[in-house]
Amino acid sequence: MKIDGKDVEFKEGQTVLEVATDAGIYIPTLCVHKDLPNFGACRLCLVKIEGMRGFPPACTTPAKDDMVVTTEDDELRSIRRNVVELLLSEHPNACIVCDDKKLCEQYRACPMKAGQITGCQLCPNKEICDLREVVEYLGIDKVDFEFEYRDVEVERCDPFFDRDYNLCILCGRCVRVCKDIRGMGVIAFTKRGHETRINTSFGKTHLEIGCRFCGACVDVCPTGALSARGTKWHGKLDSEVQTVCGLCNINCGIVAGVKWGKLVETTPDHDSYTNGQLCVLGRFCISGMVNHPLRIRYPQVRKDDWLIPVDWEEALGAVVEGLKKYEPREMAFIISQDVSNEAAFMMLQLAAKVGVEKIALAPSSGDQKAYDGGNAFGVSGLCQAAGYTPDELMTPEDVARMAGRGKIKAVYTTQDVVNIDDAEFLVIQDVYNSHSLKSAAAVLPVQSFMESEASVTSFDGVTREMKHASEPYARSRPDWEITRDILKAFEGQDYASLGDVRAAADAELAKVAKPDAQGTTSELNWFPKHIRELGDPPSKYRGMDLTVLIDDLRVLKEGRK
Amino acid sequence: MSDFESLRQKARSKYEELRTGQKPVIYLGAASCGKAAGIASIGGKIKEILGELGIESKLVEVGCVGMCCYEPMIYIQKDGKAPICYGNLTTKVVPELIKDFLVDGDPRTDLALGAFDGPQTEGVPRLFDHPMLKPQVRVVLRNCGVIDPTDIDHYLANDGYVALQKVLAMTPEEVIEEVKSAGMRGRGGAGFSTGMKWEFCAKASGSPKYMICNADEGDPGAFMNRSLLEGDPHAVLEGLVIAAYAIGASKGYVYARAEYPLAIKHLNIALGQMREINLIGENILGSDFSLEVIVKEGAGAFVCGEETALMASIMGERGMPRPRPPFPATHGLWGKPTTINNVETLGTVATIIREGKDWFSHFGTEKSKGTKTFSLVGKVQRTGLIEVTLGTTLQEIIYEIGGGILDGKKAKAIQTGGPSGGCIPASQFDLNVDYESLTQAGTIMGSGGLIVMDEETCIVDIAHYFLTFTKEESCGKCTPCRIGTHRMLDILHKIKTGKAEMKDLEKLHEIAWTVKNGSLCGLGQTVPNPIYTTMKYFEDEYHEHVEDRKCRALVCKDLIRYHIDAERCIGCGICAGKCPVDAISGEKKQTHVIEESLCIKCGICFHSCPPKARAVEKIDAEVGQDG
Ligand SMILES: Cc1cc2nc3c(=O)[nH]c(=O)nc-3n(C[C@H](O)[C@H](O)[C@H](O)COP(=O)(O)O)c2cc1C
Ligand code: SF4
Ligand code: SF4
Ligand code: SF4
Ligand code: FES
Repeated sequence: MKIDGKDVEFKEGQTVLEVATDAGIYIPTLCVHKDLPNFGACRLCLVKIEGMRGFPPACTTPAKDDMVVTTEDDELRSIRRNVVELLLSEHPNACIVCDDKKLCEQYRACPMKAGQITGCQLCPNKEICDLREVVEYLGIDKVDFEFEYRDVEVERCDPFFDRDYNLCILCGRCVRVCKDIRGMGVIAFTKRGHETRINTSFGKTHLEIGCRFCGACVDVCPTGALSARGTKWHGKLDSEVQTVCGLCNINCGIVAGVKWGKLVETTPDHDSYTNGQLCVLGRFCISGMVNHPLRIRYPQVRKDDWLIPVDWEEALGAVVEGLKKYEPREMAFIISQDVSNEAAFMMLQLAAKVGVEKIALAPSSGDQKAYDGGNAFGVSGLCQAAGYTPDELMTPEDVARMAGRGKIKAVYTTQDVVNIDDAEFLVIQDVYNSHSLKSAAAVLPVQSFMESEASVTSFDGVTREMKHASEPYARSRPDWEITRDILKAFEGQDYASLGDVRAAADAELAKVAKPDAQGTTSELNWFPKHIRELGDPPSKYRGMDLTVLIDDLRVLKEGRK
Repeated sequence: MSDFESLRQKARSKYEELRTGQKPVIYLGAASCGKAAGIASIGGKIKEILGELGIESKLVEVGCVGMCCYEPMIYIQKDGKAPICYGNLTTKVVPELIKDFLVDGDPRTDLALGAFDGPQTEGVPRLFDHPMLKPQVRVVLRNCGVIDPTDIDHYLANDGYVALQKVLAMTPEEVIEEVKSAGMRGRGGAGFSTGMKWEFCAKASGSPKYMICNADEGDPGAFMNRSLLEGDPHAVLEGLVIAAYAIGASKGYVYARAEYPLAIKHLNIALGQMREINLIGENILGSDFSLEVIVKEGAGAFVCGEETALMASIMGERGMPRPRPPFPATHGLWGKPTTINNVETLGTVATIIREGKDWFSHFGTEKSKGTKTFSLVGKVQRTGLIEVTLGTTLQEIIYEIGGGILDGKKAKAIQTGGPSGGCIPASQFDLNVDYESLTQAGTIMGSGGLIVMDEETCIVDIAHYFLTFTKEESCGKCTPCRIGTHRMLDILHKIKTGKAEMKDLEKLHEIAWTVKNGSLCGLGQTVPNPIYTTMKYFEDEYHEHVEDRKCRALVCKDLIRYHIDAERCIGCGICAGKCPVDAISGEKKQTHVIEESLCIKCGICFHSCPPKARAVEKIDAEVGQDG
C-alpha cells in the first residue's frame, strides 16, 4: 500500500495507523493506546483513503493491498484543528492560549497545588500530556470558542487517586483498560450527548463498586483527569529505573520514579512479563512504604534495657559475640520469604558455618497462595538446595514455642515474629520497627527492595533482578551484606561482591526443579486474570502489615469488608 | 394437500366467513394512534350500546389505515357488505351511529368516510377513492387497518407466507438475486441495495449468522415502522425469515424500542403463532432450514437505531456506535456475520417474492424502485401514515394526500428524513421523492418522516429544534458530535436571541462541516443537514435575525414583543387575569396596557384575548420602539 506517496509494507491485520507508525509517518491520536482495543472516538487520526467515502480513522481501518492513503492536507488539518479546539473549549486551556507560554515553560518542573485546575501549569499530568503534545503538533495557540468549564466536583472520596472529570476528554481509555484488560468494568460512559461522563454505575464510589485500585485507568489516562493522589505533585522526575516489585512472587515489572534521590512513584513497566499491569500494592503503596517514618534508621544494641543506636561495627560485634555464647542446637534462624536470593543464600551459608540446623521460613507456608512472599520460590528453593526437605523446615511459630520452653535461646530473624519475646538473645534484621524490637538484643536496619540490588526467583521459575533505585534509608544496609559480615566474623567464606554471592546462589538454585508457569504467563492479559481469580496479594512485607503504613490501603481493606 | 395448505384453506374460509357473514362486525382502529385518540372509550361505549340494544355483533381490533387525522375510527360491516369507515368519532355520535345503522339500516352516509373493497353500499363512496388515499399505492401497508394483526389466520387468508413457501423451494442465491434485481433498497435510511447486503453476509465466513430487524425508529414524529408492526406484524416477520434463509442465519432478533409496547405485544403474539405451525423453529415447513427469533427491547435511544450501536445494545453493552469497517456483514453480533434491515425493508420483501421482481420494479423511478411509507405530519390538513411510489412529488404528497396547508396558510418548507434530514423550501415542492433527488437537494430519505411547515414557522427555530434533539441523542463518544452539536446550538441560540454577529454564521458553517466530516456514525454525520439546508435555502432569514434582529415568523421570543391595540381592546381583563407575571394593567372596560419590562413573552395574553377583540398583537420587537 501507499501512504503519502510512499510505498509501504504491512502485515495482515494491521491498521492504517500501525502501518504508518512503522513507516515513521506521524498521525496525531488521542484515544488510541497500544495495549487497548481501538475505539475510534477522538477523530484526530482521520485520513483520506482512495475509494472510501469521507474521512476514515486510521486507527480502526484495516490496511489493505493497494490502499492509497493521505495523512495530511488542508482539509485533514482543519478537521484536526477544529476537533482539538472543540476539546479545548471545555478542557482548561489557559496555559495553551497564554502569550507567555514559552517563558513559563522553564518552571514546568515546579510542583504546585491548586484546588481547581485552570491550565497546564496546575495540572498533575503536565509532564506527559498527550493532549498537549497534539496541541503543540498542530500549533494551536488560540481557541475560537468561549471556554466552558464543566464545573463538576473533583472526586476525592476514594483512596489512592483523584478524578477530575473537568479535564476528561472522554477518550474512553480508562473504560477500555478496566473492562478489556483488567476484566473489571468498574467505570463506564454514562449519560448522553454533551452531558456524557465517565462514571461508575449509579454514581457509586469506586470503593462501593468493587474497584481494585490497580491504577490501570490512571496510567492510560492521557490527561490529568485521573491522577494518583500521593504522587501527583512531584513534577519532573530525575530518573526512572526499571526494576521489579518485591511484594509478591509474581514480581511485576515496575518503573521506579526517583526525585532528589527519593522514590516518589512506581508505575508499571510495559516491557516486563506482566505487560504494563500492576496491582494496588505495586502501583500505589511502594513509595509510601519505602519512605515511611516507621522504618528502622540505625543499628541498635540493648544496653541496660535500652536499645541504643550504635555504629555498624559495634552492632555486628555485639551480634557475633552474642551468638557465640550459644550451642548451635540452641539457635534458630528465621528467613523471611521476602528477602532476595542473595540474602537467603547468605543466611543458609551462615547456618551451615555455625552449625545451626533450625531454619524457619516466614511466613509459614501453610495457607499460602501461589505467589505470597516476595521471593517465596527463591527462598524455599535455596533451602531445598541446602538439603532441607519441606518437613525439616520449621515455622516461626515453632521457633517461638520452643523459645518459650527454653529449647531455643538465640534467634536471628529477618522479619518480625509474633511471641518471640522469650528468646534470650534476639537479633532482628528488618525494615520496620515492630513489636519484636522490644525484646531484641540487637537491631540491624536493612534496605528495602527499592534500595539495593538483588535477585528474586519468581513463581514462574525465572530469576529477575532488582535494581538500586532510591538512596538507602538512613543507615540501612542490604541483607546479604550484613549476613556476609557476620559470616566473616565466624571465619566463613568471604564473598567480596554481590556478583559472587549471586553466582553462588544461582548455582545452588540450578540444583532444584524450577516451577513452570508458562501455561499461565503466555496469555497476553494473564496477570490481571490471575489476580482477579486469586485476589490481590497479601498486604504484608517482612511481617509488617502494610495497612498500618498506608492509610489508603487500610481504607481499601476495611471498606471492602 | 400438505398440512400447511389445509391450514391456509381453513384460514381462508374463516376470514371469508367474517367478511361475508350476516352478523354485523365492528372493526376498531386500535393501533397506538387510535388508542391515543381515545378508541378505548369509543369501544366501551359501543359495547354498552350493543348491550342496550341487544344486538349481537363481533368486535375486531385492527391496526391503522393511516388516516390519523380521522382518528378515532371504526368500520361497520353489515349484511355481508364491505365495511364502512367512520372517522373523528365521539362517544356522543357513536350511539346514534350504531342505532341508525344496525337497528334502522341507515348507513349514515353523512358520517362515512368510505367503504372498503367488496360489495358496496349505495351513497357511500369507496374509501380508496378518498382524496387522501387515492394517490397512494398500498404495497407494504396492504393489510394495515384491514386485518386483525393478532390473528395469523387473517394474514394467511391474505396470501401470507406464500412467499416463504416459495423461498424454501429456491436456493438462497436465487432469493438474493430476485431481491437484488427487483432494485430493492433499504428503507432504514441509507438506501443500500438489500440484495447486495444479503449477498455480502451470505458470502461471509463464520457461523452462526444473525439476522436483525431494526425496529428502533427513534426519529421524533416518525411512526411508519410502529404502525406496520402493530397492524401487520406477520408481514415483517415473514420478510425476516426470508432474509435469514437468504443469508443462512440461524438466529433472528427484532430490536424494538421499549416505547412501542403494542408493537412488541403483537410481535410476540405473532411469533408464538408462527412457532405453533412451524414457521419458525426447527426444520421450517419440513425444509432443512431452522431459525429462532426473539424480540429484544431497546432502551429507546435514537442512536441505538444505528446498526453498530444496535448490535452493542443487543450484546448488553452501552449503545455506542463503532467505526466501520469491519462491517456487520463480516463482524456483527458477537463478531459473527450479521445483516440488519429496517422493518419496512423486511415488510416489502415478501411482496417482492410473491408478486415477482418485475411487478415490484415497475413502481418507482429508475434507481429508486417500489413504494415507500411516510409519516406526514405538521401543518397539513390531513396527517397520517401514507404510502406512495418512489418518485412522487412533494407537491402531490402535501397538496393531494395532505390536502394542503392548515387554516389556508402558505407553505414554507418541508423537513424530510427527520432530525437528520434537511429542509426543502416550498419553491422546490416539485422535487421527486426518491433517494437521488433528495440527496441532490441536500437532505435524505431517512426512514420517512415528513414534517410540513407553514409561514409561521421560523427557520432558525426549526434548525434549533432539530439540533436540540440530536444534541441530546448524541451518544457522546466522538468529539465532533458531542461538543460540536453543543457549540452549534450555542450559536443558533445566539441568533435566535439577536446576539449573533455575521462571523458567527461562518463559525456555524465551519463547525457544521467538521461535525459532518469528522463524526463517527451516521448521527453526527447528518446532524448538520438541517443547518446546511436552512442556511442554504433561507439565507435571508438568517441574515435578518443577525443583522436586523428580526424574526419574520415572529417566533423567536427575544425578537418580538406583545402589544395591545388600543382601538380593538374591549377591556374584558381576561389577559390581565391570566398573565403569570402581572404585566398587564387596565381598568375594566378600559384599554389594557402591557408593561414591557415585566413581560416574559409567554404569549398567554395573545391566545386568551377573545376572538371578537383580537387586540393582543405579536410584533417585531423593534417596531414602534424608537419612534
Ligand atoms: C443515528 C441513526 C439512527 C438510525 N435509526 C434507525 C432506525 O430507527 N431504524 C432503522 O431501520 N434504521 C436506522 N438507522 C439506519 C441503520 O443504521 C441501518 O442502516 C438500517 O437499519 C439498515 O436497514 P436497511 O438496509 O433495511 O435500510 C439509523 C442510523 C443512524 C445513523
Ligand atoms: S483502578 Fe483498576 S479496577 Fe479500578 S477503575 Fe481503574 S482500572 Fe478499573
Ligand atoms: S478519564 Fe482520562 S482516560 Fe478516562 S476518558 Fe477521561 S481522559 Fe480518557
Ligand atoms: S406575553 Fe405573557 S407575560 Fe407578556 S403580557 Fe402577555 S401574558 Fe403577560
Ligand atoms: S486516534 Fe483514531 S479516532 Fe482517536
